[in-house]
Amino acid sequence: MDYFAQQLINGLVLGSIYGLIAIGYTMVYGIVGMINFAHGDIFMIGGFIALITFLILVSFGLTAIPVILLIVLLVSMAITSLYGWTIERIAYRPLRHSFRLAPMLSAIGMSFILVNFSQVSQGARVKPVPPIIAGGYTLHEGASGFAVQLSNVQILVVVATIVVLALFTWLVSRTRLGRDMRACEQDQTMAALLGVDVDRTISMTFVIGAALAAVAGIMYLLYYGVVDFFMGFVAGIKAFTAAVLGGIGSLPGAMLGGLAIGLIETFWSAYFSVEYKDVAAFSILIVVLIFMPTGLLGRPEVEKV
Amino acid sequence: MSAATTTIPLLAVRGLRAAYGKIEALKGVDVEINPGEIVALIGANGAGKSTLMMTIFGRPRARAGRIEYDGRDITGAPTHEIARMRIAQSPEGRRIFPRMSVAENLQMGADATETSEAEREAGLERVFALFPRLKERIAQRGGTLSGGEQQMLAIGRALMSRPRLLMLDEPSLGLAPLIAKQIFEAIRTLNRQDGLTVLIVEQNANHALKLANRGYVMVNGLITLAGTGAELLQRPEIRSAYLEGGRH
Repeated sequence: MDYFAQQLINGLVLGSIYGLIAIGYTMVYGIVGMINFAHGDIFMIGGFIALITFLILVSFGLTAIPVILLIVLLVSMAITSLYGWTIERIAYRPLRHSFRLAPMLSAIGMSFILVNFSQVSQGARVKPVPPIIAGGYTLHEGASGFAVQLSNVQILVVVATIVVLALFTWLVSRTRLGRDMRACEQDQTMAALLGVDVDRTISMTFVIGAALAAVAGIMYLLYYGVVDFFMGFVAGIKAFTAAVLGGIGSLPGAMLGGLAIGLIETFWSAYFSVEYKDVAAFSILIVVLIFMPTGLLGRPEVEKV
Repeated sequence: MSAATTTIPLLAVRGLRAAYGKIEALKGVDVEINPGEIVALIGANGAGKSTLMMTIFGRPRARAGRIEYDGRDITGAPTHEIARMRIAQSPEGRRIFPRMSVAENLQMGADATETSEAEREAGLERVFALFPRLKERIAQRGGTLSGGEQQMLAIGRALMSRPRLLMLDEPSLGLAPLIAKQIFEAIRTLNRQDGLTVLIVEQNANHALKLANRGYVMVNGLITLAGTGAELLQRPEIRSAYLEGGRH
């Protein structure tokens, strides 16, 4: 039971990170109908910028952890958003009225560019950081000597995810920008007829998606203590899987799918084999899609897909 | 209508050409709408009526010709900027946002132009006065409304932007005669009470011409006849124009 509880905690933390990335996939798919294959690498960029900002702040002699985290968060979100905005502007927008596969291929190309750019500029080695947030709590000590641990980093990841999601939900459901985004998702022509600047709204979608990926990148850095130029690939594929599992185009679905993938992976690693955790995650995806082709929370879409 | 001819038209379309790919849908269209008028545009299916409305909004872009609104050239302006100039459209197929509530659909209309809180409230009251049914459905999703309710919502949404020019594409299409009559009545009221200028596209030529001050007949991407509503109703060629115009 203790072992199970521990894995549940680990799975939820991993799932939170996947969920935040998955939202970026699902948002972009909803509004422009393409899979942004560079999104995983945007997450990686977010992690790197967080690392660089952290090192700069520390080298200036800053020691207050909350202040450092806040600055790292803001800087990483801002610069990563700029990446997201620029990629849409130069790689996707010119192809928007081209054939459907064109922006997708462009996205794959963009992904290669980001990976190689990071490898060349930051080096191929894994970049570690010392644990920034130490400590934690022992929730329960079993008779067998196994203790359920909840680290401060894990608490931070989950709390930050909840806060970011609450802000994001408010933005989408209550603000003018969110309404415009939903309008563009449902009918771009009609949105334009009602004065919505569709190009700007699409740009903002990429910016918000990138900002969420940056948050995920920071959490990854805090949780695992490393970043490397290739981390966007696997995390991106997992988050994309999460988005499809939850029902692509559905925002709650992306978060739910992220948690599901995180939990499946963790439990499989814990009870069966670490080597086959990805097989388990993707197998579940296949099974779900066979019985629910639109994912857990997706709606039937006749036109798209 | 002698007074109207001396004023600057609110909308002037001159020599307008537009195409979808290689198919030319507008082949040099001239239309004028004066402030305070109701103008009907009639013609058969595929004559180019809806295309004209959409081309005024820049979708598709005009290939030739000129569109002037309130004395200003808007031919190349982006669609969303045209919408912000208080031209509103209830387009072909209604295009209600299906996964937004009635309230949110109406709010989208209010967002189209600079609208103060008081103006928004007044706008909502006006829409609910015209279409009380919408008030009952306020929290319902647009996609779950009946055809008639969606039509009301499309017109209501257009009105929320406090338009100076309201363009209605087939407001009576697919509606029960009683509801259609209600909608025509609403258009007349808006025109008389608020001085709203209206361009109405209709297949139901009889209805539209009775409502309108002036009318245009469109055949195959060209205006073939123009005149006051009463004049056009009496023209013998009018029947053939809108009944057989689409053929060639």
